[in-house]
Amino acid sequence: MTAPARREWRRHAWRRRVWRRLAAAVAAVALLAVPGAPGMPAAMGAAPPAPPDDPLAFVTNEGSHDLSVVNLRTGAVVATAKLGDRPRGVQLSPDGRHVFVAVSDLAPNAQSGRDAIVMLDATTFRELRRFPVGTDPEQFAVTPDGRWLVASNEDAGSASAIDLRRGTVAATLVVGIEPEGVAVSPDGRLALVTAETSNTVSLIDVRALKVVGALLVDARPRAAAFSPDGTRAYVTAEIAGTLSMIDVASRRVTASVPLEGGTGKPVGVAVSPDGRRVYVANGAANAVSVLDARTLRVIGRVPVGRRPWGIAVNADGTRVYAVNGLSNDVSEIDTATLRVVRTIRVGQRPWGIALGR
Amino acid sequence: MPAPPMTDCTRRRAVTLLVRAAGAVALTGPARALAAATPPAGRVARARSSVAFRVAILTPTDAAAAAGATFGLAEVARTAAALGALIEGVSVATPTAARAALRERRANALVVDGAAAACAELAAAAQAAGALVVEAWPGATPCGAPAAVVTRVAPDDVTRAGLLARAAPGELAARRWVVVAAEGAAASAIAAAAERGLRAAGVDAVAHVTGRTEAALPAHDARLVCEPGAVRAELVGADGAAAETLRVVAWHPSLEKYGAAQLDARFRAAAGRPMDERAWCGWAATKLLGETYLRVRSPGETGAPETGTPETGATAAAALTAAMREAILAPTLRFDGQKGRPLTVRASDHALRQPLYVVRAPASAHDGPEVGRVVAEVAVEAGA
Repeated sequence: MTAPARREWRRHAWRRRVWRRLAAAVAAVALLAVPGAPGMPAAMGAAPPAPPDDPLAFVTNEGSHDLSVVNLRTGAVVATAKLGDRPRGVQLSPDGRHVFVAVSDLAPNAQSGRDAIVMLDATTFRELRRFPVGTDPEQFAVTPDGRWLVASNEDAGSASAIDLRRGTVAATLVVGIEPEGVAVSPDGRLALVTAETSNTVSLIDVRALKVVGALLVDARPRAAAFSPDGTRAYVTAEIAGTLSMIDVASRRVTASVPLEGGTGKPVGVAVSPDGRRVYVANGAANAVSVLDARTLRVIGRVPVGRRPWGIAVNADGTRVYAVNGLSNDVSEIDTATLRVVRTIRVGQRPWGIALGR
Repeated sequence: MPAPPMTDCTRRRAVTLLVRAAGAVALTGPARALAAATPPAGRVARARSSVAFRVAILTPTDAAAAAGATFGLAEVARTAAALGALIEGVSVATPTAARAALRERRANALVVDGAAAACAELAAAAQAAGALVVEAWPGATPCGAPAAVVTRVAPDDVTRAGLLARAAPGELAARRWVVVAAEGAAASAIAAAAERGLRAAGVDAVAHVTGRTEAALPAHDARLVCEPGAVRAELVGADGAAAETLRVVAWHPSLEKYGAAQLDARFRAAAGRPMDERAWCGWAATKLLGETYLRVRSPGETGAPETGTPETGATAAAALTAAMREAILAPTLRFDGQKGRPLTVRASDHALRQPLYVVRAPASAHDGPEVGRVVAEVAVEAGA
């Protein structure tokens, strides 16, 4: 090695030492931080932070009681927000600035201060606010204007409409028995709340904060999703093993089809941004069903991980993400080829997913 | 599980009307508490049918099945109200009152706890009235499968014995078994199922003893007691007495999955007691009837037959119950009993196909609904 080369090597070695010490100091600060403490980030980095333009996914982990933040460009978990409770439903605010997570204590049917919808900063993952709800909160939806959050209260048989500006529960509405899934129409005027025991879907006029009707659907309805134009809604029924289509204007179930021979235990449902396809996570079949959104004809089946539950489509409709509760990962599906192109390891018993920027 | 003693049948008290989805109703006793626990449905502004689908519940007073059936009726009545329909319940204490409910109150269906009445006799009356019968809990006399009886919710003793015999040798780690049967044809049938089950579980040495004279029993580690209403497996302790017992039940309050914990919590809040299997059978009986009624009549339900409604007269009522019977007995039934899988009714004997649970408990434990823990799930399958 020549003298100039040695000088260059020493200079780089010094830089490397500086960077290593800096990284160690940052790691020490992160480890000393108490996750979830007020004013402290609820996150510990698992990989370098995602550049601002990279798309993110937020995955709730029911078993490890945290939220995995995934950089969807690299497939790396860039942060894990410790929530300390049992997180399930997850949604992003329409402006993408906040992540809402339904958290509950480990005792179903017992009301405690830990049953809440938590609002996190979508960049720092700091807990900003906690909205009290009924026992065991699971699913909810946010209106497109960011004003209202509608949550189902499973044990109370009610749905809460939370005014996000004021941070208060504006109305508690009687819905079906054991309410579960919630969806809000694209215009924000109508909310659907499924109810597992009564096999119903309650229709809520969000402006009036009133229940304006109910529909009978198949056995044990779980999740609901609207078509992008709001004319149709889709509801999965776990015990019936079906997907039903609702004509929103007439408030009628217009079609119902069995999935996976009726034994798939469908739960999560998502509609493509162009409104042409419906994707359903079949928990017992370890597969995602792909259906024509107009006819409900099954046009594809994608084997994924074990017990897919939550499901989401990205903004341009090119990728579908299925959250696999028993294999602790997320299957990324290319919607053109209907194949899994990547499997992303997340926390324990992942449950729901929301896609960010 | 021995049935509670028959209540005084001469008593003419008719505990009338449990839940009416809309309007004030005079309620007495436990019915008042249950109705009070039912959230109001007043926020749902829908036109309602002026005539209700009526379910008469015949159970012994204060029996768990009565509480379960009443609770189930309250839930389906609430759902009916949200959908613009009306489901009513009439609680009756005697077979005579049940016949009157069928005849005079035009009950569309009858839920029967066999401890209160001979199911077969009532089934004949129901058939004549064009009504359906669901046997929530079996009595001493088998109900069989007459036309009016659309399903029997609780598993019978033969089913329990067969499933218990398959599960018990492994669970109790016992090799030498004896089947102990009481006198009579019913006990013999139970014992035969137990012997088949034990052999299927790989137990070779099965001694069958009729009667229970301890001295007459051959050496054994465990015994399967084939007592009608109280089928159980007993692990024998060093002193020859039962140390632990296994039973097969349709429900247990400790179940948590598939909404079981939520169901138990709702029932506790309404009835002030845990949901045991007898209560679950009552709940499932009225839930099945109410749901089927709503599906058969619902205009929003695809594929459901459009039939008449009770207000169009007796012919339409008969058409309604015929459509309901067909729907309940159809292999496509997907009834959700909160057991994690769709339940169907077996065509041959109208038994409800369902997961059952093996409960292990110390033999010294008192016979309460929360005694023991669930150690295994078994199922009444198609051919069982």
